[in-house]
Amino acid sequence: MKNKYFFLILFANLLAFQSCYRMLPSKGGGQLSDVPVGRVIDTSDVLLPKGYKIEVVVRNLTFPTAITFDEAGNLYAIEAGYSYGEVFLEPKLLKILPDGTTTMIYTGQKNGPWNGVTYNDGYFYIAEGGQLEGGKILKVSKEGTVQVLVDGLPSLGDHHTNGPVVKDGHVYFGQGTATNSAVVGNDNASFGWLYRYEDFHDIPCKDITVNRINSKTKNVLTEDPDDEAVTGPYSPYNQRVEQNQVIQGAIPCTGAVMRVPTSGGNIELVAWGLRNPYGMAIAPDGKIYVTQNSYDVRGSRPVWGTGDLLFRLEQGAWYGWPDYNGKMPVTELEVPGEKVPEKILVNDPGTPPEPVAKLGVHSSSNGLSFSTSADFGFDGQAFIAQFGDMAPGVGKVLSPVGYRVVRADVGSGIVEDFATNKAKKNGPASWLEAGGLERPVSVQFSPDGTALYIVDFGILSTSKKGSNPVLKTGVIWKVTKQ
Amino acid sequence: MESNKAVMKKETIWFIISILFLTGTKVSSCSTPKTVPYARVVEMPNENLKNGRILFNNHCATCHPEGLSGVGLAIINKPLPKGLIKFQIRNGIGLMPAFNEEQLSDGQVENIAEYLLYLRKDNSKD
Repeated sequence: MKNKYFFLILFANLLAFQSCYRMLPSKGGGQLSDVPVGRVIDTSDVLLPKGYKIEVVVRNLTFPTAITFDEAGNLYAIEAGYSYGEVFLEPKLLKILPDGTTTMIYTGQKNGPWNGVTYNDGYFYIAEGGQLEGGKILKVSKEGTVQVLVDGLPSLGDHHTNGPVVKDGHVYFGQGTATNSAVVGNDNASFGWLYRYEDFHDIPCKDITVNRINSKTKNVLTEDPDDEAVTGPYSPYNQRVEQNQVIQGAIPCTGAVMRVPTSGGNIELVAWGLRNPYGMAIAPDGKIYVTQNSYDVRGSRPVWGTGDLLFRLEQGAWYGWPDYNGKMPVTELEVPGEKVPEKILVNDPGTPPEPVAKLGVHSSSNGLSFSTSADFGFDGQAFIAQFGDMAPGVGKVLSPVGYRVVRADVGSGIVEDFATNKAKKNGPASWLEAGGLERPVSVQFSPDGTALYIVDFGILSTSKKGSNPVLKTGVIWKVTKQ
Repeated sequence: MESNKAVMKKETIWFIISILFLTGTKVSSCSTPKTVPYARVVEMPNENLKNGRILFNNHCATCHPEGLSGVGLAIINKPLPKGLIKFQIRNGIGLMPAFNEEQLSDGQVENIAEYLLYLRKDNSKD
């Protein structure tokens, strides 16, 4: 009799375990009850390995996303000019003076976000996100004259034009996908862009054949509350696909790394099947590495539990989007209690390469830079800025994820903290009500490798209604070994 | 030979212990996840732990970054014995997926469990 009770209660406990996740609320680091209007900065709130120190280089920037150095070692930064939350400003290329003040080199048009900058042989190369006009690669001189190397990139959706790095006379850049998982849905209306560009959708880099996977949603583009939209993959909103339908590939495409000569010319495909290839860096061995922001739990085809990934770029490879995360098929990544995502592609265009390292789910692992100095330490390791989760919009997290700088051993895949906030819990400074790191968006080693610069985007709160960035809260930090 | 009364008493004690243990584990799992970030360099003292760390990074860390809470619950702040950690990995209680023998050998599961116990012990030094 008691055995029966035992198993009954054991079963009840196991059921309670099962429901545990669903009972708990999302606790993302951006889910602030009170959004501060300004920022407290205190270097003593940042935790580093023993022997390292951190200082502030510049503060009060608005949406800084990247830095670079010229041949003389002068420091330059870009302000993105756009943030999720539909804030459009003019993006800026700034020179950072030793006293922490800035001078303007070039002001762009309201077509951000500028997501990356690199300096090479007298010119700055900027990845212009292109939320309003499409992505561009800009070549800017120190005098502020600009040449558009590429324009019309498919950046009008969720993700933008990223990178860049210069290698072998070419600018390599990333192009994020229009959507979470290849289907335009009502989540894209929440971003704002679906109302601007009703026909925008993902573009494959090569011809693909798709399965008949059509998602039915409320039609947000009509006023009739009962109107429905039925949307297939790689298609405009409310346009369905048939079984074995061929979708024509094109260059430029979404979800890819492409390149263009530094003097301008034709765009070439480097690799594809990357959801949002955000960070890009050249390792000491000369290979290009790229971070991928992986799937969210949103939209018509949500995918659950996918960690961000670090890849070594292989020419011509297909990295798995929209049917894999790394080597894991989406059919094994269903949202708990919901329908299993079906594969979109009838035939895989290739075998997705193994990731070099796996990073936290929703960590938004973005910019990266390699340590090249034994004086700094960890030489050969990739340092990665983790912007932090955008929960609850991207899915639920039980604690804030990211908001730190990690280092990854590209040989073993081991990822460890390098810079975090000192606290009993992980989270951005505003959530912890402290003065440390907020949202690290990129990192860059100094040319001599002795200092790591952390670009901190600033405060960005999140809720089910969307994002709310706070102007003039961006910071650039500098870490050195004592 | 034990009397029926003694056997029943023993069963009752085990019954209560089991329920308390399961309930305690569940409560601690569902309680506010404790996540203490750290930025020190953790050296592994032996090969099993080194293997465990690599395997953990490749199979577990995306949901439990450094054993802490993320999409999944924190897993280095619970008093689970090694046997139950291994059981959890193999059977995937809750939303955690189960890892079969093709994905992780028994030796690899052992390495991960050892690594988690080491991380828990190391983390408690703070």
